[in-house]
Amino acid sequence: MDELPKSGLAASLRRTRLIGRHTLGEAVHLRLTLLLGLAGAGMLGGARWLGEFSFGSAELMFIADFGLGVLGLSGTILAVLATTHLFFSDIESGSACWILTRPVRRWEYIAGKLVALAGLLAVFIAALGLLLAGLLAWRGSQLGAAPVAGRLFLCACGVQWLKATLVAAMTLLVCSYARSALFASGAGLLLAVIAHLRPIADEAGLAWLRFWPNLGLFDAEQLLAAGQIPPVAWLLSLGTYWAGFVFLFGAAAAYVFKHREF
Amino acid sequence: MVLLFAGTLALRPMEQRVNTLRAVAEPRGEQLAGLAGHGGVLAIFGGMRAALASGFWLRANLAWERRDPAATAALIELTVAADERPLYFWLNGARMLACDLPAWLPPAPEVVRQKRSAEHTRLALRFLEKGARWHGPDAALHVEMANLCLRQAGDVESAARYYRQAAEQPRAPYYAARIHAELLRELGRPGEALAWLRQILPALPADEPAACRDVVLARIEALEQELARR
Repeated sequence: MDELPKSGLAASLRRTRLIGRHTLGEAVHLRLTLLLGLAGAGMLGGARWLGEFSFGSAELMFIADFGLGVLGLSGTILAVLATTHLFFSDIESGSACWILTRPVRRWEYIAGKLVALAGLLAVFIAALGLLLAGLLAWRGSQLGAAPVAGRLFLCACGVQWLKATLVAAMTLLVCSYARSALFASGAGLLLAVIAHLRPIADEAGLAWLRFWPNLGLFDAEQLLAAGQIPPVAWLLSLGTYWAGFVFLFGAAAAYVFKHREF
Repeated sequence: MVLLFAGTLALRPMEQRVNTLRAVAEPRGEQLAGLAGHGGVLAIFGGMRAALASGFWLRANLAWERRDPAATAALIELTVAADERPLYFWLNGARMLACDLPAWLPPAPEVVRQKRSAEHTRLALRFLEKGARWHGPDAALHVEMANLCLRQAGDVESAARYYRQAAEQPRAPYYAARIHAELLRELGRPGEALAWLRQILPALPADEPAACRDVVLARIEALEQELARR
């Protein structure tokens, strides 16, 4: 790395950016990213075939629905597995120790990882989203049907990204204290499932789950089904909710990581 | 950990605000709980509920072909639990519950058959009322409820009420309001029918054939004459 200025907010941001850029470069070249991307693309292609079995809704809406589901599912899996891999590979290879001997604070390291994961998930969801948009445009032109509104589709993909990055932040918190990648992966996936269970928490007598984030709020399919751009107030509220939890999990991860011994 | 819990609890008001402001309802607990044990919950988490619902609907139709009432009813419930958005499932599911299921039962005396038909009609009405809660109120759902009351149960009073509810929904078909007035007339309440028709008349476009503005005007005239004779 270049010689870094040692103090001040600008210096912290620069260190965070450098760590983030390095991590993102590593993440994009992961075989996991490629594998999930190919699996997602395959499933999107399968949506075209499955569209023939759509009974309740128009074929385009079915394909959009299914495609957003693929984005969400693969994004969540990537968020958990990539976070775990990138964190523990640094520890196992000794890179983390080397970086932390430099004037890099532990919270800057965690923040850099989080920024890189957000970037990776943005690239991943954008790539699959473009593929889905292309599939919808192609099938729409064949059917002569009205296309799905571009801005609404962009909103829906954005909501999937918010959900995936929140899952990544949860997993990073687990990684900060976990001793094995396997445990961190399993715990990360379990926490994501728990967050999806929030809508049924009260009905199922699991009211204690209320302290956990509610991933049911990030429902891209419902957004698309509504057929109109959601109100700005709702988008801002959702964004604030997301930012609050990402900050909370990031801060907790940084605190735990600060006291971690290697 | 304490600070983490405190922070998450502090974000609860923001979650409630998001729920209040969202244009569509949050997936309902009872809806998701209905899928538990049927392999549907993970598909919901994966966001593939349209595909899941279509799968359940296919199986419901296979059960319909076998004339299996319990399986048909259960699979119809699973279909709407997986995906409550398409009206197609609600309307056709209700028709299957009200009209087909009682016809599959063993032959019985007329009184017993009527009782069965009434029970299945009530089942279908409860199903459609659940649809109004999960899907959201829709004119088509209320029209279906009205039709079931009128044709299956012979309940003119309830049918009139449902047609009125249908007429009050956005993008309601024009005939719902007219039929509500006709049913009020059948119930021996011409005064209410006249007041209703006068209320809807200004909103009926003259250049829209489906609105049947002339028909409504003729009915208003007929009701005025009927009331004048009394």
